[in-house]
Amino acid sequence: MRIQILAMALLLAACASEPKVAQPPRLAVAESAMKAAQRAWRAEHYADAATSWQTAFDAYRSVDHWAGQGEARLGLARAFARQGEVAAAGNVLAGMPEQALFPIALRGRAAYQLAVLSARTQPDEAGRRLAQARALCASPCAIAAQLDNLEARLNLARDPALAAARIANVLALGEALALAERAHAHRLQAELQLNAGAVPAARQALQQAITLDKELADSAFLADDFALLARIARATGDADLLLEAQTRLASLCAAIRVPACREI
Amino acid sequence: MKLLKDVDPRFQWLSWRVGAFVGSALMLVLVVIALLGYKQGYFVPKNRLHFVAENGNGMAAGMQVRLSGFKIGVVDKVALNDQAKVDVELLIEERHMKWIKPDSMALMQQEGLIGDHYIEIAGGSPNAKPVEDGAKLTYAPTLGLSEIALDLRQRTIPVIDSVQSTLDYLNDPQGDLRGTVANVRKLTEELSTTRAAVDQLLANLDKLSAEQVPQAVNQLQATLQRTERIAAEIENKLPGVMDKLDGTLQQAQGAASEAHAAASTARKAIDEAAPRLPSLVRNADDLVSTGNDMLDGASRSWPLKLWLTPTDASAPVATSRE
Repeated sequence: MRIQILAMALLLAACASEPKVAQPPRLAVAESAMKAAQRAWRAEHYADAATSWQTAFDAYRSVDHWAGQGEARLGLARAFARQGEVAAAGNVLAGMPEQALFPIALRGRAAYQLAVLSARTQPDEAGRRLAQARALCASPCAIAAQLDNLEARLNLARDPALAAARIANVLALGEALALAERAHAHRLQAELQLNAGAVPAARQALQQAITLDKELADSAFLADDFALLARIARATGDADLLLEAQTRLASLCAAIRVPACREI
Repeated sequence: MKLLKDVDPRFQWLSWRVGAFVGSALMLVLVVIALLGYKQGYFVPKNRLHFVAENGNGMAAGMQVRLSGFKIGVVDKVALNDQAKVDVELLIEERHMKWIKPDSMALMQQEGLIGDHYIEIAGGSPNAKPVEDGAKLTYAPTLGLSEIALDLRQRTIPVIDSVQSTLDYLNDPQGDLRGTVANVRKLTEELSTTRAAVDQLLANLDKLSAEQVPQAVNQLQATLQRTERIAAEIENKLPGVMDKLDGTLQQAQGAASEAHAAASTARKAIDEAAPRLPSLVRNADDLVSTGNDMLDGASRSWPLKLWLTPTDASAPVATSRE
């Protein structure tokens, strides 16, 4: 009886499993490297992820696989950016939006990533890349929310009305939207309202952002939230809130160095 | 009188025919068992050998015993003895005993990086007589990288300690050597003073009057006596100094030769280990790659595919906040 059950389970497993797909060695290497890079990325081992994406990039390039090498380049640029090597990330993506051999969706993503890279230091260049990304992103655009959020971020001080409109677009998408973008939209809304002097509304929006960022458990985003919370506390003269924000930020920065820690 | 009568010819000799069928089947089973047993070497005469190992890591009854890569027997028993060492008994096929010599060594080996362990019988003088049943072999434990590193550490640390103690001895302000050097320096300074006094005396000799000559001679005599005394003192102390210096030099030389031996051992260990490192790294890389492939394969199989999220091969989309 036991043998029959085992045989039945084996038969079921065999029938329900996907058939083995034989791949050429180069493609197998490339796919394996892409998966290894994903695993390293999820484990926050960015140097390992960069090495794996570089391997995948070389393997795809050696077999004239443009979609694969485009994905690998996007990943490699992200890994460099996470390690603070913004110039290297820019070099990896240089020329990609203009290269017609890449699938258009990847070209749009490359332009968007270049815009994100230059958002802090070169807002004009970021705006140009953002426009390029919008032009390349076919409708329905898979990264529309990201583009709206970035545009709002770039226009917080320059054009608050445009920023508010973009944030409203993003928040209108509701639960269907990626958690990180929803949290970013709330955080942008908080900063916009703080700039406009609507401090209680700013605090409420930021609280929503913090709740979502805690769900995401991303240190950089949380630190950024606490830095803004400290600004709100200063604006209201709330010493207790300021102390709480500073304590949370200091505790987080003692564990990991992220850009917002410079404000301590 | 028979009540029933088998008239059908198919039932004639039925019991005999059933008996013959069952008998032949039994015979077949016995033949198969005998063949399997023969194949496994159960009917081959065997001799018993044994050795003592420091530890029984990887050893188990049933392990193969090989000579030049061929199976010649099995490990019969592995047991801990009263000295906390491991007694290992081997069963060796009699026909292979002629290759095992009294100076043959038993070594623990492994097939590949993750394969089974086995005992390899190696070496042995070609002209020596083969060992007898019940003989004892020498077991040579093979060193892994960690053991090589430990061995190197154990050999190097006494040398470093020895060099350190020699240097401490040489540098000790209260020690013999520094004390002796200080004494010699003091004596040399005294000699210089004496020489200056003699020079001054000789320089003033021209200016001496007749009355002053005896006085000067007396002074000269006293100075010469003092010089002689110092020279005698130096003569007395110098052999001792030389002996101590010689001893110190010998100690330093010993430490240097120990350091040289340790360096040679280290170089040898590195030479042995270095060629294996690239293949070890490659093997480890292959293992990881195979493991990942297996995991990917397993995650596509039922029921794991219901529980595991397959790894996405595309790059993650950047967030607008970075």
